Amino acid sequence: MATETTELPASETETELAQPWNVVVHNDPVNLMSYVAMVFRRVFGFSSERAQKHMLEVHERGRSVLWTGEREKAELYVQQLHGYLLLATVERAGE
Amino acid sequence: MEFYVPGKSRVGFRHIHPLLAELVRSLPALVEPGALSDEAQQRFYPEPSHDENLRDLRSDWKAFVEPGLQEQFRSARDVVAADLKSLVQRKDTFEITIPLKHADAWLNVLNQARLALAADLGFNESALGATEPPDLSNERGMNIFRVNLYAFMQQCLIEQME
Repeated sequence: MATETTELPASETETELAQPWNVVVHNDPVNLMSYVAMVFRRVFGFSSERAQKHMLEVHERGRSVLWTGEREKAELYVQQLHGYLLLATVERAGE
Repeated sequence: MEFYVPGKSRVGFRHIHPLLAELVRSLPALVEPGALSDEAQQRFYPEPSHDENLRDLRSDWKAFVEPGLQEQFRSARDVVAADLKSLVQRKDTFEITIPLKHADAWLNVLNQARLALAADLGFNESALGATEPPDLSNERGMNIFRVNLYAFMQQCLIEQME
């Protein structure tokens, strides 16, 4: 008996979950730069140098992409960053 | 006002002018949910995405994430309110010591207070970064001073924690 495999189109949700997502932190005039760098070290486990680089990028360019990967994890990172009162969002990578 | 380390597991502020002591004592009340303006509420609970197509994420966030954040902020506020009971007068000034393990709660509440004041009064980078002393004869100048006082306390704690 011959068997045939038919590839079903991925649902919209599956496609969304599979594509990479960015965790973005946006500048705000209130949070101290030292505080922002400390949060980056804690949440992402960054070295001091890497945390400082992202903090300066936020300050000078208005935003920095801190992490890219699956959506669920990106949302968890944003949740943690909101707990530290940073302005953070998820967005589709490449947008 | 001076930051000091009275022991391995405690930090403190001493020689606090009575006016500054009042500003420190008022921290928990300043960030009580009932005291927050709409602008402050929006800043405390920002959108998780700017993508208009992620409406589900926004509604889920409101339903499931925001209550957790509210609880986290409330818990930090309670820790600070309890620590403030040890803000005591020593001759003409005040002092307070707090367990180092409470430093995270203090950082959070100091941040809540700074963000709430900035959101209410529309402070921008130039107002907060001004090098000349604020005009303390009006409410705006007084609140800029207050935001900077809380920033000083945050910076002391961050340096100690590092």
